[in-house]
Amino acid sequence: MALCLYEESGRFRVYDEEAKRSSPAAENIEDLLKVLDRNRDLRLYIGIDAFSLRKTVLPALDRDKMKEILPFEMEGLFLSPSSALVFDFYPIRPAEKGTECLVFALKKETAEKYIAPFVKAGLNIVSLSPLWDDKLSDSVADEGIFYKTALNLVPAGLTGEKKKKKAMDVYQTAFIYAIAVLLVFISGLSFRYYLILKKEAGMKKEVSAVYASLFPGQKMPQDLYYGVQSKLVELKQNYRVFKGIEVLGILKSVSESSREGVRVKEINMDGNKATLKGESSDYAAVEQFRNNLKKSFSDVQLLETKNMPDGKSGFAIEVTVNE
Amino acid sequence: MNKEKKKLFVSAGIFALLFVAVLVLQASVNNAQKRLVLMESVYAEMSGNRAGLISMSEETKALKARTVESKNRNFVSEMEKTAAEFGLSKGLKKINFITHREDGRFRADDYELKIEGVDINMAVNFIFRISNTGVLLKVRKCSMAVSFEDPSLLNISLLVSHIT
Repeated sequence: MALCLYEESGRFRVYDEEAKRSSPAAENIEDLLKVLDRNRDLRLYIGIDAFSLRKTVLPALDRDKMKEILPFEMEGLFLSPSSALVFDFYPIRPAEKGTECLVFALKKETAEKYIAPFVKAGLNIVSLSPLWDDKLSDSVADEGIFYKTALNLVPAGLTGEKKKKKAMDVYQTAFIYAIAVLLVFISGLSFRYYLILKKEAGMKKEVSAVYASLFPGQKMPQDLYYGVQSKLVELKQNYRVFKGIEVLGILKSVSESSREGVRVKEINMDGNKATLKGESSDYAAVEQFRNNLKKSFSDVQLLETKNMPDGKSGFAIEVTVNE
Repeated sequence: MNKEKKKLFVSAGIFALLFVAVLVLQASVNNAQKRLVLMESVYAEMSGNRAGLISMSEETKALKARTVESKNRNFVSEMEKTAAEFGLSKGLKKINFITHREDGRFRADDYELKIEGVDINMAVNFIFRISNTGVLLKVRKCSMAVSFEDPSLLNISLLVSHIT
């Protein structure tokens, strides 16, 4: 149900088809625009003087087809060319070669002048029609039947505000959702970034504390990873320059790992490896010895076992010293 | 420019701005994540072996300090003197200079020592003593084997560096 706007000597009377009542007339179009509901369809009725009328016989076709051919049928019958006019018709009575009709023509620029303020205000004009006038009573039975015919002389392109608005609403909703998603992303990422920075700061503090005890008086490198790593490498290299094989440490570990029945007869130490050669009463004793060695060395490999002529088992074990 | 176009441009601008912000933040998070992983590896190494690294640092410092004293000592006479203290003058069969190396900060003179016919206690004490005399030593290779003549005794061969 639409709101009908009747132009009556420059003022507008509003009739609500839904509530079936009229509102007091607005003095001018600005006042009218302020009170109109933007979600309602509007039908605008203007005085008959704005229209040019002709009686003619049109082929008996359906209404839409007849409206389509009107500009061609009417060419030359009005002062202005058909391209500058908008047409609609009121069927009066059947005739021999079709239907006798009352054709209404309105200049496009006049129609646009009426409709433009409503379109600009975002209102949805669905039709522009002539007001009932007594002059029409010769051709039209009465006012009620005339209004029921619902003539519409809105130039193409000026209607459909509601559709445009709907489309805009879809875009707006999509835009709002997209922005919301981006904001969720931004907040999530910001929070993650904050947590990482916090963790990094905590770790930096710990690293600084250890660094200060390892390298007292030395400034912490700017690049915490490569700077600290290179200092650690340097520390280890310096240590290796001075630190040779821990002969006594290896001897102590071998001695502690040894068990009854095992006799180590030769130890060769080179770098971080030592090779132990010896003999044992049986193979199980070698295994036991090997397992014991694992407690003191990072890697223990049994290189060789062999049966000796005296019935004992010879062995060669390689151990790797913990760094 | 009409109102709708303006609205469209502003909306597109806001969207683009937020999108760029997301990209920048994502890049920053990735970068920070990488830094954190690297930092974690340093932290793991430092905290996991904190005591070891500190003792390494202190030991290195102490050994460095000994190089000054070590410079003025004669390696061969120091070894002979120590061997004499342990009654190993006969057992100390060989002290051979092999070569010397320099790494820019320190000089290392390599020697080969051969000691024969010592028991394990004597060997341990001798090695302990030579490691703690005025000369700064680094044992590069060590070989100990039971003597053929007397299985209760050891023959020892050491390749040591005298660091100065």
